[in-house]
Amino acid sequence: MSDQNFSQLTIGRWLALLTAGRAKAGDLVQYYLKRIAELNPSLNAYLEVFADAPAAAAAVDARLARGEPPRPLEGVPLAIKDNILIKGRIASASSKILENYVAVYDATVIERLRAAGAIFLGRTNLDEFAMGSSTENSAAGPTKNPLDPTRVAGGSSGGSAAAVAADLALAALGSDTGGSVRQPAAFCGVVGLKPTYGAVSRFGLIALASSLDQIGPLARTAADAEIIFQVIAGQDEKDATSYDSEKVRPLDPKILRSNLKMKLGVPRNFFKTGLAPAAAKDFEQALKRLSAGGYELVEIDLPAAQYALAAYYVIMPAEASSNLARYDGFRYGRSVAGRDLIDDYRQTRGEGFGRETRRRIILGTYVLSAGYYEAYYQRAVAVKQTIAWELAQAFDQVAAIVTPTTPTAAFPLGERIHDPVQMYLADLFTVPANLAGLPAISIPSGKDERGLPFGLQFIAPRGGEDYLFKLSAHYAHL
Amino acid sequence: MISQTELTSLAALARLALNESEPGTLIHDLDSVLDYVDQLKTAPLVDGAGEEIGPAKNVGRTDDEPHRPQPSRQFKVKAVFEN
Repeated sequence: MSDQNFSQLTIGRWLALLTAGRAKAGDLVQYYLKRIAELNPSLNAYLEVFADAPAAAAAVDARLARGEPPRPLEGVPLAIKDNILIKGRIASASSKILENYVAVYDATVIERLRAAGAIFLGRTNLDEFAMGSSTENSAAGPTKNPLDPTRVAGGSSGGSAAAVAADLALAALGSDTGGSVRQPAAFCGVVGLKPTYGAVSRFGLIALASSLDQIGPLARTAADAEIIFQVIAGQDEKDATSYDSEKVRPLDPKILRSNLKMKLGVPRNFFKTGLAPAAAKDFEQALKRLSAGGYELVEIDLPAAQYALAAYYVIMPAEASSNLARYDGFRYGRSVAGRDLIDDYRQTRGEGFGRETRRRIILGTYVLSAGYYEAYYQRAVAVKQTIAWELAQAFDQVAAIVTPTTPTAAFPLGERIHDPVQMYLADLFTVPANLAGLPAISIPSGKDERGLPFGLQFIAPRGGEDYLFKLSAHYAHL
Repeated sequence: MISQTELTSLAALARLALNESEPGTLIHDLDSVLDYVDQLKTAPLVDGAGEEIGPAKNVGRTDDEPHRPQPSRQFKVKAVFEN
């Protein structure tokens, strides 16, 4: 098999090649390792490539040679965001404070992928502790967009998105707290899924904001994202927020009701501000395509959704400042000696955390402090609940909601790094799905005049992943 | 607006040493974020939205009788040291 046949491979096509005996996992892994060696020094998508990937591939080939039936992800080489724990590997979250932390157990998603036959190629770059929208907040330096290396790959799962887009992995895992899978997927022209809150176990995911975090796949097609989702989804006793997707998914009457199946909601008031002209033009073309494909587009009003980003920038730092309290220099990673014990903590954290992380810790501490808690945190939670309520109302009229994934295409490196609010605005359209716990997918839409991709986002009711996959696959063929 | 005193106090609460050149930019950045989130004051709230989707708060075990005896979780293991 020549290398050329592996270019832009999909999981579906790979499994077909493998079961037909026309390809070996060892060759596929070598194909990616060669590309990584060529391209990663300039892209900085991977922080580390695992030396044992060829051995894992050899084990897969030996298994198949013995006549064992292929598993759902047999020999599929994956890139893993470096905030997901793989036993015996460094899990740095792209932070200096965890630069030498070695995971002592596998995350549940890693266990499930391993059992399904997947091979781990390496760990990918992210904004420190998944805090950012460009992967520029990484202690290991930014990841560059494979489609234009002067631009960001998006974030925080920028390394995973770039790895898939540059053909450095067959697919990848990311995590999405406010858009961190969907936004880089849009910027790099790949598919990214944020599952329903609770659909995938977060056991072994380094926590950012626990009421919002979800692990999701980045892949070349919606069908590939679906294959990975089905492997990683499901209840886990180690994450109390996880639920049994088999029990929830069939209980989805609103979507399955046939009179709604072809109705999509378009919340124009929600995204009218902040949407760049080129992105608006692309979105209108996508709507025309959906319309021509037989979908009825229904204007819906989401008056609270435009406050989603503001609510997010209270709730997320509040939870992050609490979650990051555990990095004290003793239990994990880096330790800096101070005058006394309290000063050990202060020096370790001051030195170990990057600028954005320090900013969010202070912000979170502020909004949770006496006198500000009601004005900021409680208000934000009330807005969050209003957004969830109004989205639930919308799903009485439509099967899914369609929006642009991001207000702009990938922006130049360095453009927003000194203006936090401008950086945060990159997640303007993705945050509502996190606040409401809804599944949402970003799929490639059109491109701007520079050839930079735009993403189209579909949001479904809780447990509506199946519908998102069907809708995305249908859209790709319209 | 966050004052220098408030920032010092927040940094102490967060166990975070700030380097000397930092406070100016940090205050500026925090103010710009707080300015943005200020719009929450005018956000429309729906009465009963919380009941509709369930309140987002932690639910702990009730403290009805904190001192009631719990079932024993001890079990015997083989001797580790030889006598």
